[in-house]
Amino acid sequence: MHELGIMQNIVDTVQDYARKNNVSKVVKVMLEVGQVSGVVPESLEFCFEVCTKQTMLEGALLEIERIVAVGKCKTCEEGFDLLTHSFSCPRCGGTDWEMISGRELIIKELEVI
Amino acid sequence: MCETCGCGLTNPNVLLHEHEIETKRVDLEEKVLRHNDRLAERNRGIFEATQILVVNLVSSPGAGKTTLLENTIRALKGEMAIGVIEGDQQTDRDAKRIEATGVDVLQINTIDACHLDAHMIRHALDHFSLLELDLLFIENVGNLICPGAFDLGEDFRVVVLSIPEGEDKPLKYPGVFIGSHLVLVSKVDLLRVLELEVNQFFTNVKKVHPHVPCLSLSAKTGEGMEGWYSWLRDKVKAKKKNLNQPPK
Ligand SMILES: Nc1nc2c(ncn2[C@@H]2O[C@H](COP(=O)(O)OP(=O)(O)O)[C@@H](O)[C@H]2O)c(=O)[nH]1
Ligand SMILES: [Mg+2]
Ligand SMILES: [Zn+2]
Repeated sequence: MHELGIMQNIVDTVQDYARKNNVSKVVKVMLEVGQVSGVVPESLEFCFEVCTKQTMLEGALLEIERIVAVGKCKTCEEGFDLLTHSFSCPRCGGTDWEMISGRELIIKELEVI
Repeated sequence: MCETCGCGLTNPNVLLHEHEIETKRVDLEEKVLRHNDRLAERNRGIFEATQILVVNLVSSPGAGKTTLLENTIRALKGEMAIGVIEGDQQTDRDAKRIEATGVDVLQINTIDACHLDAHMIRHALDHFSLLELDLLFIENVGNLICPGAFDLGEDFRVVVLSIPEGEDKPLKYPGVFIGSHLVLVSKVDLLRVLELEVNQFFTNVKKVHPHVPCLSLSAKTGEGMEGWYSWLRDKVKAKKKNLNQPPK
């Protein structure tokens, strides 16, 4: 469970941005979290309220987009959902692939006043 | 009282109710761990300049990291200068075990954190005479999920997967395996009792990380340890000549 620390990082980064850009209030935070990033979205949501208390994020909405772990088959170039297909290409059965997405941990967008 | 119109609402969740305050969307596209990544790059610079090979050992609790280190140090300390950073939430038991082997060790107690981060490592480095070291091991906090996200500036992230954990671990926790540069399947002396085959472990590791090198060993019987030592010797030598590929 390192989501508390991660959320603290997120709040710090957003506050940093807000201060530098004369933002008075943050009303929405949008994150991208990869399926294999090692971060559990539910835990992040749980930590959000605690970490935003008495900051300019207090009461803001948290929106998390889960990014699917996608591999690109090195044999036939098919892109496929790694977890659903147990890491082998549904088109040719290939097990050699390159990871395209799934490890993201990004503050994507903010909505501010 | 609502600051905007004086209506009675105080809950900030409804700050935006009927007042239709203009909000603005901004693209931030900021990595959450950018601060850690930056410090990790700095650490990497230090290890580059001092030509120390840095190995970050990651595993579930009890996979055998400390035992592996004790034996590795005893076997190699005659030919290279080794240092160890021990990460645990509490206690300095592991550091004491390493200290008994006669090398320099520093314990980091992370208390609440379930992983080491680049900042902790940066401070830990002050404890060592870096110019005299050839190899620095970092034993991460026992945890198969969290350490995966935190770059420490290491050359190699080595995941230790022990036989009693079962061969499906890589499929259940792919993240940390995908981010690894070498996987050590440990405690192979237990294969027979548990009626398992080491190839089942290799197959599942390669499933989630197709090209990662894998070794199998037992710190208890010594089986396979020579392969691990050769790997370390090669990488230490390559580091001196700046030949190691940067990770990822
Ligand atoms: N059978 C067997 N047990 C081992 C081996 N290596 C370590 N152990 C045992 O596994 C337990 C945990 O080992 P430890 O090194 O403390 O694991 P760590 O938590 O990853 O540092 C201890 O009881 C060790 O004696 C091995 O190669 N074979
Ligand atoms: Mg240990
Ligand atoms: Zn294919």
